Amino acid sequence: MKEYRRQRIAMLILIILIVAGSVAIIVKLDEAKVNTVSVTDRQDEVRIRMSWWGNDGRHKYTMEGVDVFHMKNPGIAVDYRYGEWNGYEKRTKVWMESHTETDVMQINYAWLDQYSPDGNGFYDLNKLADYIDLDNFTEEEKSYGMKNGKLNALPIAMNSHTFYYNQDVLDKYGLKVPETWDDLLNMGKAMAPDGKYVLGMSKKQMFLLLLSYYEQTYGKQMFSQDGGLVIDEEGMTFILDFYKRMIDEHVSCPIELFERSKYMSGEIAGAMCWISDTKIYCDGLAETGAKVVRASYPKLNGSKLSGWYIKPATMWAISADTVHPEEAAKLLDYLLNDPDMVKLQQTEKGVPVSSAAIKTLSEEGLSETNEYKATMELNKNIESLNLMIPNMENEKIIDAFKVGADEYIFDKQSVEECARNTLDAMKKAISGEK
Amino acid sequence: MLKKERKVESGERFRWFLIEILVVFAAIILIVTVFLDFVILGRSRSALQQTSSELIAANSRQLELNINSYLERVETISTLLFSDESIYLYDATDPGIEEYNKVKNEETINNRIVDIGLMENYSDFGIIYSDDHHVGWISHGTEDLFPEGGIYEAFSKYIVNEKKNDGWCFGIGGNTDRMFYVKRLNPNAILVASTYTRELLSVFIYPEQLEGMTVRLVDAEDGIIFSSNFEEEIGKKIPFEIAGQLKNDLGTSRSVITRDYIINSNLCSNSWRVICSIPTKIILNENIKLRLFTLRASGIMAILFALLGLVMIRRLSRPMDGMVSSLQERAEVDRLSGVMNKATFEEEVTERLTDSSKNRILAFVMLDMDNFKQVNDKLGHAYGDQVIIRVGELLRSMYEDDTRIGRLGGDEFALFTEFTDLKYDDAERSVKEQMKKVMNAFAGEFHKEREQCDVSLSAGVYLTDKEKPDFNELYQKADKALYNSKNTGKSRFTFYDELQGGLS
Repeated sequence: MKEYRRQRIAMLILIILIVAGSVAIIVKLDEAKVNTVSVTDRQDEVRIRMSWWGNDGRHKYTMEGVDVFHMKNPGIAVDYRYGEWNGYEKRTKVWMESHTETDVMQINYAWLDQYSPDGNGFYDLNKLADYIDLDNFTEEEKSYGMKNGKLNALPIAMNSHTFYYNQDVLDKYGLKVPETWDDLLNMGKAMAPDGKYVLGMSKKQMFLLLLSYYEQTYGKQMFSQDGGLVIDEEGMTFILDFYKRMIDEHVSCPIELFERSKYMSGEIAGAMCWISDTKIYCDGLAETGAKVVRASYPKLNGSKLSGWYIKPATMWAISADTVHPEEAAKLLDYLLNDPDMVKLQQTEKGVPVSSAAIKTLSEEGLSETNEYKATMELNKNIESLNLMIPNMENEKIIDAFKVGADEYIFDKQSVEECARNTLDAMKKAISGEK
Repeated sequence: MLKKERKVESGERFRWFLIEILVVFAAIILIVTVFLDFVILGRSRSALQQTSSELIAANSRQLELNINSYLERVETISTLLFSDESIYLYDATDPGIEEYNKVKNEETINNRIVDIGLMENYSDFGIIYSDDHHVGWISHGTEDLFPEGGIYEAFSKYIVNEKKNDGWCFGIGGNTDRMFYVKRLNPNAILVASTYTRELLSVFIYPEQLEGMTVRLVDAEDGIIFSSNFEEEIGKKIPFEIAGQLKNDLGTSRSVITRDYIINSNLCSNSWRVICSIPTKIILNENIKLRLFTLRASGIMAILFALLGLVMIRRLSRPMDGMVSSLQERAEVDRLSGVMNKATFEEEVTERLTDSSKNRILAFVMLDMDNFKQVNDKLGHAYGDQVIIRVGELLRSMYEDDTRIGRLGGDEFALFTEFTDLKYDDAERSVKEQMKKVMNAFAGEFHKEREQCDVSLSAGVYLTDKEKPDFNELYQKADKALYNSKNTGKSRFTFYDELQGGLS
């Protein structure tokens, strides 16, 4: 009996010890949990900025592309700035002069001269060759972005002008697709009684159209290769006269009255635009059910010069001030070469230059796009096309021409006076730039 | 029932009693745990929901301030057009304006628009006149929303704030990728500014959002303008389970906790709302896990308790069985003779009699020593006790376990046997033979006592095939037969039936 009692007591003591021990361990664990300092390292993303100009379609696919880039590169967040071309140059100037430009920038070919005459205005992309596949570009293609031996930018596509006409409007007036300047003037005569115009275009396109007519007629260039203005007052008078004649004879709609909606509604029969604007002026019109035809450059029989130019459509560059060159380079490579981005962009900026992009687009049925067809047409005449001189696109020079020309267009000055003033204003714009 | 069987049964009963206690305790543990689980964790759940709701409300309020700030910025930049009368009072539809002046005016306006909108991501920022002519940035995408014209009229309808002459709109012409701000400049001119709704991503950036929370910006018709859930369709109505909870929400801020969602709604400056919602189950995920853990833990504890109890019962049952058996034996067995005491014998026999099995013959024998008093008188009571002990031993040695043996008092013993496989005559013969053996054995065992005190053994036998006789009947009839044996010379046995036959 005593043995039994001893066993029972021993068991009771054992149970009490187990319970007490368990409670003590639980309390200790809980205390340990409360007293433990919890430290979580939060790895911030590298945040870079990019910018571009363009239309709705470009904004949307570029933003979508940035999302895909972020998914592929979770450590790099990209903020963006975008806007229409109108005013974008001014924005870029503010950025560049205040050193607040974005890390990755869509730039215009002309800006290389403007912001990086010595090659130091943008980052030298050769230094980022570990992140950018430069093998996708030929030496000639890279040369468009070279300044003073430094690779400042890479071209997205080559670009030139093209003309799209609404065939239904031409048919209504019994007109053929124009081939010469005379054809254009005759078309204006046919459409003027209805208050309609043959062509509509922006300020820059008008300037380049007039430049072409001048160069074809005179057989000499308006700008020298270094960007200097070599046209004289007689030449400017000739240009102003033709400009006024085009408006008066309804060959071209006044610049300030040109709205895409008028082209879409048939009020204006055709548009002069960049090949990269094909989506807007060709595909957009075709979507309304209209038949759209592409026309060749207007020519002057017997002319020594074509007066038409080719240029890198737009280019990607990296800010010289960037503090994240590697991340910026990864983004730039993605924008130019990555299949996902290329599929989103397609030929919106023209047929791409990058061989990797061409390969991707070939697999995607590239040859069906109107940009591709327009580029092929361009290639047929490539021998007659010159590389655009950056000042031809200089917004200040073009503004000076427009403001000056208005004085003659609206009969505020004689053509001679206007030619003299306009030429002076354009020269001042050039010297101001330099 | 045999003595051995009775012992086993007692042990079983005790074990089952312990198991019952064990089960009750295990059940109590479970009930208490479940009770604590539901009461305490239930309170914790409510507190968690409330705290989360407050957290979401703070988050929602911050997002409302962010969106208000964004809207205000667009509105403020737009007001910069009012810095110059030649801009905001200009009416492009005025036929009296000379074409040259018109061009120059619009150049000025355009430059002003470029200047003030320079650093913003506008998809539209321009002035539309009542003839649909526009200046500034009016995108092709917006123009395309009105292929038949009427852009001025369409946007003018959204100027609903009569004081500020402005308004915000979304979903114009089915477009859901941008939101518009419209402000009247003069009776024939309105400013239209728009940004892509995805711009709101930068507005709704809020560090450390609750995982699983959806942030939405909705217009007055509950159309989704922005959603942090990228799979959600922009322009679609907010899900009913959320919108339904915010019906009649006229306040600036409202928090709702439902079974399915924790929702917070904040009214923005333009009557749009920021709505943050999170499924309740996400908030309570840890609580639910804790509840399940507690339930599992209590279940395991109960099982462990039961197992431990079973082990203890097993260990306890051996000594307890012995103790119980000993106590039972003391209660049931006549300590002198070693056979059943009277009460136990009667209980045992009665129990057997209640068994309603047919075709059995019952034999009840009453034994009583003749002249036993002389043993006590001559040889002493201690010797008398020894005689009783020896009678008990003799009877136990002569009968198998299937015969119940009891001491009914003094020197009186009783036997009860069931014959299930014998006919009445055979049973009678068997009893007679056995009784003869008993009488002979007694005579042999107590030869000395017979000589000294004339001790002998008399017996009365009652044999019956009745289905359910009662104990008293057996006892009285056997006793009557015994009485007859005593009166007819002693040292003999008498069958009750013979007695009946004699009488008759």
